Amino acid sequence: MTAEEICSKVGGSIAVDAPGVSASSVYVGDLLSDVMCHAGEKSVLVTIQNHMNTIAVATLVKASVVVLCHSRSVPADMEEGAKREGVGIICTSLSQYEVAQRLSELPPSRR
Amino acid sequence: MHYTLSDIILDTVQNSIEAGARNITLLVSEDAEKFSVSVKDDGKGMEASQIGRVFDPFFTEAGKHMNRKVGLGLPFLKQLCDTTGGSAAVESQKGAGTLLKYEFPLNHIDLPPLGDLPETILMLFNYPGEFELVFTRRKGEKEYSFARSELAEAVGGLGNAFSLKLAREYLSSYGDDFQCF
Repeated sequence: MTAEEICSKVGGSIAVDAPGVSASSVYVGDLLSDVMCHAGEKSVLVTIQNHMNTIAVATLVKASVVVLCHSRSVPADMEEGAKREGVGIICTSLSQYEVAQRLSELPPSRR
Repeated sequence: MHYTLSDIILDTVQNSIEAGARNITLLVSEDAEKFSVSVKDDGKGMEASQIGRVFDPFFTEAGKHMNRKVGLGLPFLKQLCDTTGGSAAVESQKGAGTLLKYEFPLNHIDLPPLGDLPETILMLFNYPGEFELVFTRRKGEKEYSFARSELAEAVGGLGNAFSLKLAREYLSSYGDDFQCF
């Protein structure tokens, strides 16, 4: 699923574009040490953590796209890091649960 | 971020050990309002230019982490400070050592639990290498201190399962006074 398709499904907006990336699974988590242990490659990370560390963890696990829930804004350093690392960021007003529902055609991410 | 405050303590003391420190002092204290940690070492220290970047997850010492370019111990600490209204400060001098202090307000709803502090201290004491680690736990008027060398001597070394079990029982015997919350 491309970033554009994910964005459309969650009714969000693309904060950081990552042309050409695609995702094949979903992980929902706000505790980044947990995300490090369980999110897998080419995953969509659904979270409320609008922090630079989220991009560092996404890079570590090779996640493709971060979906930020509850209309959380993207800090400048997070945006810059995502652009540099090629990680897409999508912002949505939905909750993590609602996003997970809308992306349910993708399987859960596992490591 | 981490599951527990003990995970943060583990990360930050490991940094001192990995910086080649021979002497490390760890103080974990709390009063009615805040939980505070201080880690002081005589490791290799940092240049002023490095100190400003220690909370950047994409800044990590070359070769420190196999197959990855991010370091998350101090960035996770900073994130928890941002989230809970805590604070963290680093003082360091190249060739002399580093002092890291951090504290969190105890009444913040997102403050993680302390976790298993005795087991964390034991893991640190059992970390390979020649170093002294003095751990102090302070809560109000109460205070306990343990040195790695003293505990190792008391249980006959920390290198085998039996002595580790003794050390674990010894540390855990402090119960609530050690764990505190």
